[in-house]
Amino acid sequence: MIKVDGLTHIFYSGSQKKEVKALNNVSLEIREGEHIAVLGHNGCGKSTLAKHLNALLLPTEGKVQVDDVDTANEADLWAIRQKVGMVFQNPDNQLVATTVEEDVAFGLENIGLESELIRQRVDEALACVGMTQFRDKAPHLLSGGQKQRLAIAGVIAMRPKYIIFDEPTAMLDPSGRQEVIRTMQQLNREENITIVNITHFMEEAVLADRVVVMDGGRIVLEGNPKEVFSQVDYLKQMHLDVPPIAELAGLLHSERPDITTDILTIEEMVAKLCP
Amino acid sequence: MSLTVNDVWYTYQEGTPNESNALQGINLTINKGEFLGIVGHTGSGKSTLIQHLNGLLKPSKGQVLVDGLELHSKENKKSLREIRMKVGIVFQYPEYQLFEETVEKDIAFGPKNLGLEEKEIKQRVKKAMKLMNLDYQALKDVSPFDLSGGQKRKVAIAGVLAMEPEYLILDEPAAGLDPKGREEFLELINHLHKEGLTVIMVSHSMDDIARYAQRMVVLHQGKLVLEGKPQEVFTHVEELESMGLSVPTLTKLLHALKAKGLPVNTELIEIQQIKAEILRALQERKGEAHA
Amino acid sequence: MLKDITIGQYLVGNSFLHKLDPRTKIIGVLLYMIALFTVNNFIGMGAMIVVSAFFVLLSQIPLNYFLKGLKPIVLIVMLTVVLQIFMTPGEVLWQWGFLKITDMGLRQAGFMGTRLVLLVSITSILTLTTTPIALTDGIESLLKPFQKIGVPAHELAMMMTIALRFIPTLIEETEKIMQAQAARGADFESGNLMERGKAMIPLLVPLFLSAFKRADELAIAMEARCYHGGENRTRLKPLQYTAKDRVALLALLLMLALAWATRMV
Repeated sequence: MIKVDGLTHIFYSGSQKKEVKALNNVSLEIREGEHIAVLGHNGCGKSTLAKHLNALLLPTEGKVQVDDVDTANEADLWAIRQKVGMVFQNPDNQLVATTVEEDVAFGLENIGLESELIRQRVDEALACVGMTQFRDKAPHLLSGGQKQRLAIAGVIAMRPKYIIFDEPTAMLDPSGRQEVIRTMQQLNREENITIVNITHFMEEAVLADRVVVMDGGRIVLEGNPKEVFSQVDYLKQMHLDVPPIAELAGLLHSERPDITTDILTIEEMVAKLCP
Repeated sequence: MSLTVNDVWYTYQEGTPNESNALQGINLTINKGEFLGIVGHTGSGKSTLIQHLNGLLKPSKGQVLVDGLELHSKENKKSLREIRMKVGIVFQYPEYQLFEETVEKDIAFGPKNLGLEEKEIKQRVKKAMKLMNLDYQALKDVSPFDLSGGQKRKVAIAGVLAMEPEYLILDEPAAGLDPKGREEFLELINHLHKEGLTVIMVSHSMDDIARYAQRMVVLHQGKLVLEGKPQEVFTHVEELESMGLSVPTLTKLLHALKAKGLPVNTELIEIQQIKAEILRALQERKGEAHA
Repeated sequence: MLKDITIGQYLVGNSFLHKLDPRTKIIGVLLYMIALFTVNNFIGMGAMIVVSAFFVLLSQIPLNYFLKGLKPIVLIVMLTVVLQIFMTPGEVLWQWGFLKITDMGLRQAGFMGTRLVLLVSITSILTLTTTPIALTDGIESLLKPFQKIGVPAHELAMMMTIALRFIPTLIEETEKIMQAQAARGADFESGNLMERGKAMIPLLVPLFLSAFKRADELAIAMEARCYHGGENRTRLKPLQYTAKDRVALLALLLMLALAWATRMV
């Protein structure tokens, strides 16, 4: 379990060193096997929160614990980063090596595994994301979706328990986005890896077990997708998108109370209207 | 007056083993004053097409005419620059092209290249900033690099607008923005269209195209495969999905409802209209059941 | 366009040279270079040409790759040859005004020209038969002994890897920015040197800013993947020095000795 307790993060930005409270007393528990989506518009603190989960940032106040180990504990830094993998937004700026398989190996080389073990894990990771056929290719020749899958392979080769996705689909086209989402769901279901997906795409949030909405450095809403997305007006007030079906359900509900507001998908709506 | 694409073919790396036909006989007329949406999967040729519209690429075969004048014509080579300035183009993530020390200087880069006078340049910068909802007095001396991502993008678009193009091409203008920023940008662009600019928007988002474009074309493997009003094009659900494109969620819903026997009009796009239509159809079905 | 530039181009293959350890090949090229500048007569140079041809055969790389590799240096070779022909003192064979050709000049020009062509060809065998990764690993390993005197072997190798990884990305980016600025009326093609230099600013500023941003993000991503320098780092494909390499090295040393011997002829 990752336990975030009263986390506040202050940094100083710009030439005037203005104090910015990026996170303000955030508490959150991420349970093993869960798939969480963190929503919020730019600057709400969601990426800052993500970087605390694997000790890329340390709290100004409060505590973050990964399986009971405090992230501020320098001696456990590499163990934490191995356990909590991270996939970033820009597919290009996280790939280090000149071939696909060397890139997957990068993390394993850093933690000093034996060559044979590296080979085995690289092969497994590539197979897991369906990239084996590209093993000798140069990363810059891959599509955006493939680059992100490669980044994911590099992370899962480390056998993490948790993977934090920091807006992994923001720079991808619709088909690339699909590739990444599918891979993410597969890891959660088949490998039982805990997923935290930081995003502003509602289509992705709908797939999560739990949705956390952030605004102004705080968690303002939390619950399963049905609970969260039935709050159409509140989400709109925060300038967040609402899944179109949820919005329509809200509109229909005001005239036909039998159409409930917890409808999220086309299938559910069709089932409701044409039983 | 129009932007006309006449049987344009384009081949990348002609004469090498990597030769590929990016465009295969595109015919398209963009009328002055319209808002056209261009949709296609990555690699469908849409980026190649828009680069032809202002002469950045030269067709391997065929021609592009701007208000009747041919780009890359053999007779008047000199005029390429002049003609192409009628067609402004905003690439993806345009904020990465900023380079000047101040916002004003950066926006003035294009007009300066046109060889305009100082006074005229200043007027244009002011006008362009106003169109992009940027406060001239407050921002003119600010470094563009101190602005937020959204503001930077506005400055970059203002830089293209300051050249006063008659046609404006935007490649994924809202890419990478959060929902709030998206909404704001699309409204700004819609406003430009209302001011009389011809807008050509490339987008992956069918929802955005549905909301703003008057007409849309779909590119697939270098060919123009569908063309028409968005609501007409969206009736080709299966065809679009087979090309890796999706139709707006609510359009899909309407089609699914109709397939299940609910008599709805599937060509609606606006959510309030869809709500009314569903309520009407439910009422109609109820009436039938009673009768 | 810019995409045609290939740096350290590698050609997939399975020849004897492909299979050699990169360290052997790097040392081999160094020994070859010494030998090439050691020989000073026709017999020696003739022998070097034969040896070089043997290497080319051994690499199983089509000849046109070498010719392509020579294209960029044609101008340099010609310049060298011309300079050598006219500038070397010796017995005058032909004179026109201040231009004179000497016997020594011809000889020197022939030697230098041949040396340059051979040097470039054999060096390109190194990059054509060695993956960039193996090459950087080889350099890192060869520099290791100098770490004690402050040579940052691992860091240099990592820098080379990252450069190789990002050069294509940055080239792509350059093209994009060029197009965007061209659409704003920038002109990169006409004007004198000063004007052209100035026209590069709208290209270079965004390019540098983006490179810095990339560097920043990459550093964070590397940290997140447990990167902490070269200490205790292992490799997916560790370098392996085999019997083949010993034989090859011995042969190369022999070549150097023979090259030396030809000077005595």
